[in-house]
Amino acid sequence: MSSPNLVCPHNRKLFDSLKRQLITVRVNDPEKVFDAAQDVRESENRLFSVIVDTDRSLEDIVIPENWGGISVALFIARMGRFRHVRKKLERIRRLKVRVYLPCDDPENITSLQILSSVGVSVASRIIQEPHHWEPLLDLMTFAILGSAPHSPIDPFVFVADNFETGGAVDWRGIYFEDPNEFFHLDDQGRIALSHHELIAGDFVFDNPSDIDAREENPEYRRRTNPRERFFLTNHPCSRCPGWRVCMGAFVQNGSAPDGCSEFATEMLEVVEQYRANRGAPREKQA
Amino acid sequence: MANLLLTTRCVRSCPYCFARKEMENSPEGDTLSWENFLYVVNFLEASSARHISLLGGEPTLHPDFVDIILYLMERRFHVTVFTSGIMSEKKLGEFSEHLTSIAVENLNFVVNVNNPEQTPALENEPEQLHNFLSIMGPWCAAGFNIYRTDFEIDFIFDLIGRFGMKRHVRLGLASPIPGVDNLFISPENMKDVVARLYSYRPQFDRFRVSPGLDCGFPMCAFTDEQLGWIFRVSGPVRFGCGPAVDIMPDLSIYACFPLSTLHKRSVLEFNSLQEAADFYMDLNRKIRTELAGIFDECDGCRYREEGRCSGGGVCHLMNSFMDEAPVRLMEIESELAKSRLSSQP
Repeated sequence: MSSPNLVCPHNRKLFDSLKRQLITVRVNDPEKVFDAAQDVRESENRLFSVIVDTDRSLEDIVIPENWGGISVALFIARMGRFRHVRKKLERIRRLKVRVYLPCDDPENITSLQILSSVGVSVASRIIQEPHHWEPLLDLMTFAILGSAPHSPIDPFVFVADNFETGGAVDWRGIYFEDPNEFFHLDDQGRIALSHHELIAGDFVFDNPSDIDAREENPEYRRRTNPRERFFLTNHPCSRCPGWRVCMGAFVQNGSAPDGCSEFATEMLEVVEQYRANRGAPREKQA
Repeated sequence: MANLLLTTRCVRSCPYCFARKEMENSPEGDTLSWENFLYVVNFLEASSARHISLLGGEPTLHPDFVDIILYLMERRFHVTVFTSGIMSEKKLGEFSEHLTSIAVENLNFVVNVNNPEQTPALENEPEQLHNFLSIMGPWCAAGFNIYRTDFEIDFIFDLIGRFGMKRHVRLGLASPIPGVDNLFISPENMKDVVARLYSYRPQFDRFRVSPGLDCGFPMCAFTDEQLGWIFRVSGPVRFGCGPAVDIMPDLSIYACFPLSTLHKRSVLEFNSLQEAADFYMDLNRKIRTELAGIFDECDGCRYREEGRCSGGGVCHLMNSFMDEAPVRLMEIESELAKSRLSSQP
């Protein structure tokens, strides 16, 4: 069981109420990154990352030098024009910044490839609907098998590097959404298992102290155990050939979107090809 | 090196245009998408090609032209742009803001200029060209396509001096497009063209400008004196006609503009640029087995056999086949079809 990572709003009182915790802060304003990081560090907690969740474009965001030493996850709406982004590239590459783009727009899928090809660490938010499976397949293939130099494009590279034959890989942690590791707090310290559930007010714990005993909570176990979520309920995902590289990550409100099975199956094939090409162990070691 | 067409749209309609047939057959406003652009860039990088030429149409008409250049700089490509230099003030402002910080070693414009006294020009074309050169002059070399034997190029020396352009002129022979009625220099006029060019030697020497010969010039069109001068000011010259490898916005690919309808393929069919070039080189070789060169003397010519002269452009050979068409062309097509190289059914 990994140590919990608490995803919190920028709230100094909340930070002070926590002791010796690993904290990720979510802010909407990029200009608050440094202050948020400072507040965590000045409390008796450790900073894991700062999430900037904004509908602005990379073109519009100022990347200041004081982000140095802070792991920043930029959840943005789009890249913007390359001519403006280019001026920030050196700093983005040098600082610990990863750019997240939603894939509900094919233009963003292209932007991910552009940014990756110029050395920016990126992640595609592939859960967002509507899905554009064809360009996503191209992006996934480029990310894993593309011979042209490029920075990692997650979740694809994460899956390729962590997949083991006979096992399965859960990549929701890339988005701070793996409920085995990330716990989303509101200002009162109530805890949800995803950002989406936090917004919806769907809490599983009333305060952070409950997290330590989480395995004794049947609701928590039900939500985090894929066997209970998918196999005991005979969910279609349990019969999907691509299960081992997806683990139901596309499921929203109980149902899987059209096309995700074909996508995951194709991703599994590409991952296996990648692993075979680089001579990875064929079987998972016990 | 590959040529990538950013758009098939153009602002001019030059009487010699050897891209016309391809442009006319393209969808209106056919413009390269970022997806296809990235594919080509990755393809070139995988082919160890670090130089790319951007063509059109008029490539600067691409709405993301500046972004494309900056992206290629970021990928450490050397870029040559073939342009008329005719563009809006807004576009020119973008050039001034974003492109003038690029080293001239990495970005080069070949500005295809027409003599306004001899070639119909657009309204304000000279003014727009001058506006462009006043900003981008140091990045520019002049390009001039010769399509008549009485061509005049005095104005080019004036442009080079006024706008600080590179002291080099790229000289192209207007080529025939097989089956299309465009203006071009026929083989029998090539010696006249070279003599006319040589008559400008005093200006070339005085302004220290070097002439650069594009494909299609046959070596025998030059006297030894003319060859000596060219060698002295420009270095070794290759009198060749090799496949340029032009890539269209839709990723179709062909040997060069004049031969755009012959054996068009897709870049997706090739693993590398060299593979594509070899494919078209092999086709050229097959065509030359039918006809060695543009002159009868090409057959058995020492310099052609030793590879120092290609015997003129393949486009001329194909054009002569068209005159004999359809029998000769069909023969070639049939032969090529045996190797599954023909575009004919």
